[in-house]
Amino acid sequence: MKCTECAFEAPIGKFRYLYNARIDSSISMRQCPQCEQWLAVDELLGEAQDAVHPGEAPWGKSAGIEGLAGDSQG
Amino acid sequence: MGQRTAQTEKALSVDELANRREWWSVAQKTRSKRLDYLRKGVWKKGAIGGNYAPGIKIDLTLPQLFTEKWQEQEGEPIMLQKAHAIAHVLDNIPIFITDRSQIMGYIGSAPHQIVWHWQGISMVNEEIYNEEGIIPEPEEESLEILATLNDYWGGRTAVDKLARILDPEDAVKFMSGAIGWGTPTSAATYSTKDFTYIFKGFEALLAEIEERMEETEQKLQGNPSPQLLPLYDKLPRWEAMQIVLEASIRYAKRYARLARTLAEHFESDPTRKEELLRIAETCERVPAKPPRNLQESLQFDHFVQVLARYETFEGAWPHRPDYVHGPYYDKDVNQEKRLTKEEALDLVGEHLIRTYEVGIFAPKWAREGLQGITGTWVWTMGGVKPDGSDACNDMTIAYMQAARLVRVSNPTFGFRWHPKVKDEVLRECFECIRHGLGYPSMRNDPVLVANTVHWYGHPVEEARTWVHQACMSPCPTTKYGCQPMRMASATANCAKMIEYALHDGYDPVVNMQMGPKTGDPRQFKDFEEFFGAWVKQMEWLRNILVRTVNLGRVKDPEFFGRPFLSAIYERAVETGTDACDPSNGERGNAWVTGFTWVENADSLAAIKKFVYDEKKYTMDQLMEALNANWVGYEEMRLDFVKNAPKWGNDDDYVDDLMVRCLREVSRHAKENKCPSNNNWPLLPENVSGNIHYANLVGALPNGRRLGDALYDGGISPGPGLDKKGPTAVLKSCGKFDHVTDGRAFLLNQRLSPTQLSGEKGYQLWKAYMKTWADLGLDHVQFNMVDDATLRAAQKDPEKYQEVIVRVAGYSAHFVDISRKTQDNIIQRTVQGLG
Amino acid sequence: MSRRDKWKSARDAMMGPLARAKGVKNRESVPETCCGKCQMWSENAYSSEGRGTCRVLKMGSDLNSNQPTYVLEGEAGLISYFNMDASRCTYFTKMELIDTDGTECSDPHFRRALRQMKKFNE
Repeated sequence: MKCTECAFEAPIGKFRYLYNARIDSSISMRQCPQCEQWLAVDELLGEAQDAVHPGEAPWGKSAGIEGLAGDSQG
Repeated sequence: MGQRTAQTEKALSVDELANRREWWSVAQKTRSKRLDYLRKGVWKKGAIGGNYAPGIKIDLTLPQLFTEKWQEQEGEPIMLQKAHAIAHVLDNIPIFITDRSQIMGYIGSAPHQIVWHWQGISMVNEEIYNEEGIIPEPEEESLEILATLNDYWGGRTAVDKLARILDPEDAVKFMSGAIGWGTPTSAATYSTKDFTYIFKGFEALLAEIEERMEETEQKLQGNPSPQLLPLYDKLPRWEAMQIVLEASIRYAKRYARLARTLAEHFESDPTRKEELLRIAETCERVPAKPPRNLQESLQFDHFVQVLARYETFEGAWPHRPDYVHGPYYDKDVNQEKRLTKEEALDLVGEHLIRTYEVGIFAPKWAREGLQGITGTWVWTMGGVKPDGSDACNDMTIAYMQAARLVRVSNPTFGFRWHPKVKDEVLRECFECIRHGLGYPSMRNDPVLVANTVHWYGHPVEEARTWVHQACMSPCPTTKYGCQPMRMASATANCAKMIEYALHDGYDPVVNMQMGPKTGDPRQFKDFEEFFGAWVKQMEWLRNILVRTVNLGRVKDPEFFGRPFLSAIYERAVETGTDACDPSNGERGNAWVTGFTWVENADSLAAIKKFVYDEKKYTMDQLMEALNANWVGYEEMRLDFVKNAPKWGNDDDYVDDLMVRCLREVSRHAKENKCPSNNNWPLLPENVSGNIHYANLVGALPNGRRLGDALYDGGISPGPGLDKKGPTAVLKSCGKFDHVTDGRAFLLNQRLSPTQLSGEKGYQLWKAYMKTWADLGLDHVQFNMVDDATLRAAQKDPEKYQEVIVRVAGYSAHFVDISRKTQDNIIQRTVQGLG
Repeated sequence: MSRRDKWKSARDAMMGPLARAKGVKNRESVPETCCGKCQMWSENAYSSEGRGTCRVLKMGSDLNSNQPTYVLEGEAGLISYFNMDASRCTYFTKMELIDTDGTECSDPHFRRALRQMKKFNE
């Protein structure tokens, strides 16, 4: 797998597994051992998709009544 | 959201902010200047994730004062030795009065400092030494002090002493950190207090103790007999109680003196001068004498709570303040008109802030498991009186209103719902929830009173006095019902039950044979054999925790000693015993907290369906995938997640397994006995223990990996796995008996703030609550903040300091919990009502 | 060895302060090669004062003697401290990613949030 930030390449297991906030999603968070960036990883494909920054949600919105709950207040 | 400029923000009216549901801004604009000042000035004492906030320092004055006196008194009975040490602290600890404050008392010598009791656990003493950021400057000097303290207390603390007499295998497994947490000593515990007794005033308690001593001394002058011998031990205990009560009165009078000095010599503002003189008068009066008005009753209460924490870490705050202070509010506001409602609200709001201000050092596991707070300070509101009539009063409403103004995450409230609760009170509860506080949690009073009677045999009139002993468990506040010492160490990491059943009792994470060898599951012939292994692991796990706690409990008077708590406990005063001595008549009210419980049902259902019923996968394939932490088995993992039945969808396949597991535990709960020979029911809940244990529980058949957060509630479905709507969740939870199948069951639900806006929203919620009550559930609590706000708060935490979320048995400011916890909360299903 | 004796040695190792060095100097010392910097070592989740468990070595192993003893079979892992000298341990494997930030409640396998470790990393 290749880090999207620093291009470090190694088998997926070398990237520190952090967590998957949504158990029914194949997206997990892993950390690059070289640049320490948090990455969204598709575990089915074994690919790093993108860096994850504060406020970003690689899993998308919450389950449930998204149309109502996910609306903006502003 | 987040796009507005500072200028437009200022221009928004309260109504506009309310329409945008920016309740934290509404609070800042509507609270009094005093409350705004006090709220903004208070130091954050809960950990942010696992670390303390910048500027928070450990207080070295308290342990030094305590230790110097302790060493001087070496050789005395422990309770007496400790009483002298506490009195020395109370007489010498620096005190301060915060500007505009009206309620006095703090644990520690400065408002940014947190305390710890060096007599409790030497491991924690060492942790403090090693902790980043909390060592006061100059660091070199502080490290010398800490090393000296630790060198002295190493081997002398309560837990050091206990570990020497515990079975060594139990000690190692308990302290592995894998199966439970907490410390089996009252150094880290919490006590329920009976304010009907305490409010007699400390002078009255002293007189009662004096009378007991005189009576006993007379007996000791009589004919020698074996009956006289135990009396000799009682006298030093009573003396210890006297010493701390007298020191407590002196401590209060130090505040009186300081307030009077400030008023007479330094304060130029006539209004504040008057307030300071009132503070002086209040602190001269209480806790020596009974309170006469609301300020005195709140002050008395706060002094008691502060003083208790000078003796030990009280990790919870069992209390029912609306019931205790309601009559004083009524007298001051309604009858004598001594206070306006607004003035009373200032006092009530400050009571919440002063409580939030309390900080006590917590070891890492407790910080991770209780992110954002110091302890689970769940105050009990509402409920019924001993005769069964409605106990709600104006103070219930005042606390709810004050909570929305000051928006602290600690204390939170648990509301004792019952059929006679008036609509105006229920609306106040809903407003707090709608404002995103996450509290009050809603508790089903008739169910919980029946539950309390069922498990412990409390008389119903006593059961009706119950308060939350910690997050969830009801405890009566009566002479024999009060629990002086509930140790969190009867907390089970229940996911280990299924993990050990899969691994023959071996723990691959801590590299230790933990549970009994129940066999390699690859050799099991059917599901019943697998379930039998689960039962054995469950029994082992509960047994080791209960054994440890029982021993810690009975040895506590010898190893730790509680002179202050004993002095305010009627049955301890009457019998001349340590309050923690279970032989003094306590009825017993023990429970095992069950963290990470629901994974068992979901994992068992997946195994039953895929391995035994459908034979889609062999146990060998499953074990291979689990041992690889599902890496390389993602399709299979998703199959286990999506196509195996999941709890919370009204699906009998898995729900029946949940009920079966609970009934096995309830059977076992009656075989386990506490020192008072009472039962040990299970109470499934998580605080943020589901995050703390995320890296301690290996891959499971429900589809989680080592590292993933465990499910958040006690009976809450997994985040995003409850796909059939809120009624299906309630129906699943209603399939077992909330009286006989366990102690209490935590259910987190997330609702849409948009759907629940306005009067229609209230009516929808009320209808939901009726279904909840009809199904006989004992608990439910709500998050009502939307994704957009929470993601914005992740991005720009400074702007969202007062956004609160319900984590599990407590609430926290969203910005104070770790990213993993934040994401876990955001991913909970948003349920649509109606 | 009886069950009790076997676990007693593990318990004695676990009850840190009884066996720990005294004073500031010893508490501050972090050898260049120590358990806390090894991939095989995990912090104990019950207390974060620096105790931990080895994933390879079992109780009965001794890294302090001139000729270390390595026990690889047994019911309990070797309990050691983050700043225990591991220079003689043949199983020492340097950890690349050491997480000294405790905010994220991270994995005890990676987490080394102790003040002394931070200082060392600076």
